[in-house]
Amino acid sequence: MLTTARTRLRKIRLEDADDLYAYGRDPEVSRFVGWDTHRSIADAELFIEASLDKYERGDVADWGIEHGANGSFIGTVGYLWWETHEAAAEIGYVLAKPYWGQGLMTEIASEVMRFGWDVMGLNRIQAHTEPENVGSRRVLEKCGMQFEGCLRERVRSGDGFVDLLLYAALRSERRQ
Amino acid sequence: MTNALTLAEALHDLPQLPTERLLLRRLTLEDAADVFAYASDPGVTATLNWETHLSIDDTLEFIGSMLDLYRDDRGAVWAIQLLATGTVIGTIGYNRLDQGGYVGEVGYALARPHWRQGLMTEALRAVLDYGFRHMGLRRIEATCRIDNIGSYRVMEKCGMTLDGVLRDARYVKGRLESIRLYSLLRRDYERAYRSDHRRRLRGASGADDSSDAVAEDTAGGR
Repeated sequence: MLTTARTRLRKIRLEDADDLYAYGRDPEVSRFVGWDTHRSIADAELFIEASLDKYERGDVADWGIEHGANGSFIGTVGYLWWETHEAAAEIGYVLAKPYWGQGLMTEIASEVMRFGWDVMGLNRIQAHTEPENVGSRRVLEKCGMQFEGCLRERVRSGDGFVDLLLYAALRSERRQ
Repeated sequence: MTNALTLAEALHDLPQLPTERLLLRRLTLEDAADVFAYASDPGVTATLNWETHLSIDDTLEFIGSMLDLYRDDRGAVWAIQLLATGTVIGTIGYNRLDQGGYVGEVGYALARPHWRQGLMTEALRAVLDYGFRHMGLRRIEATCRIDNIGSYRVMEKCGMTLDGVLRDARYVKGRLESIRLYSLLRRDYERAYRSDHRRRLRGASGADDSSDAVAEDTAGGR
C-alpha cells in the first residue's frame, strides 16, 4: 500500500464494483482510456476480476485509489507493462470526475513514479495520452515528464485513428 | 490506387517486388551463406536490435522462422537480391503488425559493401508501396538508433517523418539506447503518389497542363 497526502493506493477489491461503475459508466471519464464505457455493473466486475487475476499471477497491475477523507474508491493507477531489460515501464490512470482539477492525480502519479524509481528500479517511465486530453498532459508535465513526440494516427479509436502523445521521465532527471 | 486485399491474401505466397536494381523475394535456405556474410558482420549489426550471427546455425534458425511465417501467410519479410550479381545483400520487411493489421513496423539490414548507393531507399520504397496498396496499412513506422544517420536518411528519402526520439527506450548489446521513431501515413503517401503520377503522365504525353497540376500540388502540400 502507498499513501499520498490525500489518498491511499491499495489493491482493488470486488467490493469496489459500485464505486468503480459510478465512474466507469461516465463517457467523459472513459473517453481517453483503453476500455469501453461500462454499460452495467458486470463490466465493472469484469474489470476488477482482471485486476485480481493480475495480482494472482504476479503481473504488473493497478492500485485502487481510495480517497483519504471519505474512503471512496475514486480511480485506478498503475503500470501497464514493465520491461526488465530496459528497466522501463508505462504508467496509466483514471480518476472519477468529481475529483478532477484538484491536483490529485499529480500527487498520486508522483508517488507511483517514486515507487517505480525506488522499488522497481526503473530507468525510464513513460506515458501516452491523446492530444485532446489536456488534463492528463498537465498531470504528466507536472510529474516531470518530457514530451518526446506525437505518434500520428497510432491507435484505433471508434471508427477512426487518433494521435498519441508520448511522454517520458528518466531516472537521471528525477526531481524528488 | 488501392487494390486492397485482406492481409492474409496480401501475404499469401508473398509476391516478388522488382525494382530497378533489386529483386525483393522470399528468403530460402539456399540464401544462408549470403545472409550469414552480412549478419555476422558486427559493423552491420552494431546499430540493429538483433544479435550478430556467430555461426551459420543462427542464420538457418532465422531463415527457418521466416519460412514458418511464409507457410502461415504471416511472413512479410523479403530477401534483397542484387540483380547484377544474384547475391542476397540484405532483408527488409514488416516485423510487427498492430491495431488489427493497420499499423506496421518496417525493419531492414544491408551488407556493408552496398551501403551509400541508394539501394535501401529503392527497397524501402517498394515495401512501403506494397504495405499501403496491398496490405491495407494506414501507418508504417520504423525505428533506428539515434545516431544511425544512414538508416534515418533512407526513411527521410522515402517520405517518412520523425515522430519523436524515445530516450533510453531500447536495451541492446549491453546498453540502453535512444531511438528515433519515424512514420508515414497512407494519406500522405497517396497524395505524394498522385502528384508523382501526374508528373509522370505529363512528361509522357508531352501535354502541358501544368497550371492546373501545379495548383493541385500546392494545395496538396499544405
